[in-house]
Amino acid sequence: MKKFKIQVTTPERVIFEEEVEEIILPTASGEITVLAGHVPLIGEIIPGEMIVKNGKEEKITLLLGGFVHVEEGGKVIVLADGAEHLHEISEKEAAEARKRAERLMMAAEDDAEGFAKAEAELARSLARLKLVRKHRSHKNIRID
Amino acid sequence: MASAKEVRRRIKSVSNTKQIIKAMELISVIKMQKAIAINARSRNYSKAAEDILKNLVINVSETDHPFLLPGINAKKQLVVFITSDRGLCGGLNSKAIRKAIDLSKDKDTDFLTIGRKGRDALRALGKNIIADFTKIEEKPKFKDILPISKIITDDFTSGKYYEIKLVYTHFVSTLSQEPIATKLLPLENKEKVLNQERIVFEPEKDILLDDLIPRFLEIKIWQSMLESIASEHSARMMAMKNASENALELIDDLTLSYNQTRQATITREIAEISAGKMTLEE
Repeated sequence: MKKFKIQVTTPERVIFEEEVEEIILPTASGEITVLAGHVPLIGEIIPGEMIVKNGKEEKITLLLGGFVHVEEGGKVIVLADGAEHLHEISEKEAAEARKRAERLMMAAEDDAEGFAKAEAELARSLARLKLVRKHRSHKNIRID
Repeated sequence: MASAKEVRRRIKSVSNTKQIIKAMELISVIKMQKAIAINARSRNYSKAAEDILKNLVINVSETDHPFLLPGINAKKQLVVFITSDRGLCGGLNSKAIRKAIDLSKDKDTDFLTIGRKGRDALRALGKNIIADFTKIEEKPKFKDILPISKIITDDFTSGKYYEIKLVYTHFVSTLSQEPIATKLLPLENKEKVLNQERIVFEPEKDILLDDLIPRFLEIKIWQSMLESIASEHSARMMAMKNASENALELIDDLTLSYNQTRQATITREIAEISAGKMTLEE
């Protein structure tokens, strides 16, 4: 399959920059799959898993929201608010973070801005938890 | 000429000052390295964000979002002004202040200041400051930017300002920092709309613009702040380095003059003694 360049970057670091065959990104209206020669696109990413495929090899990274830009020439740039590799997430911590976010949401119910913030936090921790649970048992996936 | 004792006292005082300067230099070196590293890591991200924004702006029309249109009825402009909280960093802040004042010449201007030095200077000049943020620079956090960008976007949308500008100090290298003025809002759409039909927005354009533009403004302010912080520490390190070199020179000069005074005293004493002896022998 034809390959294209992707760059995934957060304010802290460049997560990776390489040539791949396929990339699947989480957006508000579902997942989008980008292959080489995709039409130019600017999109918003919601917290969830990004899957990068190269042949049979799959790499999974958790994105905590952000934006994606498919450039005219086919280069893909993912600007993530934050990104975590699968092995960096511990299930216990993720579950605790979720509880914290839920509590925050209860407390902030009257204040719209605080509520929105807590909701975003909850979405992030849920995504984290989901990802860990889903991939815990898979052994054939290269975890990065 | 000052007495030997007085010169000796001055040498001691200069050496003490030099020690303090040296300590400040070493602290600045560490802070500078940290600030430069953070700045460098974040530059890549900001650059990518800027590219996306540029691409987005040429692919939408001016009427798609309030942030793309200059405020027509507004008569004022707002300048977001980033300086350091502390001094002793050479001409860094005064250069930036000059830039900010140049921008406000002959225009009705409000300021939003980040950093104490800029605030104090503008206040002394009687400029109108609508909000002031200090003590961010010690440990900059992205969430510190949020109230700033909220003020900016709210005031722009409500039509208070026709333009919002940003003045900060760009970190070129350890030896060189440059005050920069850029426009934050409205986003300019200079290039012709070429492929408006071809680009896909996900979600729809309106929702995407609402989310994306404020976010990218935050990133821009954030990056400018990191640049300013890296500049501040580098400038301070250079200032301290120069000061400590000057102190060394001063100590050399004073030591020379101390030795001269001492030698003059000895010569005079010998002359007096031999003169006295000659009188006795006669």
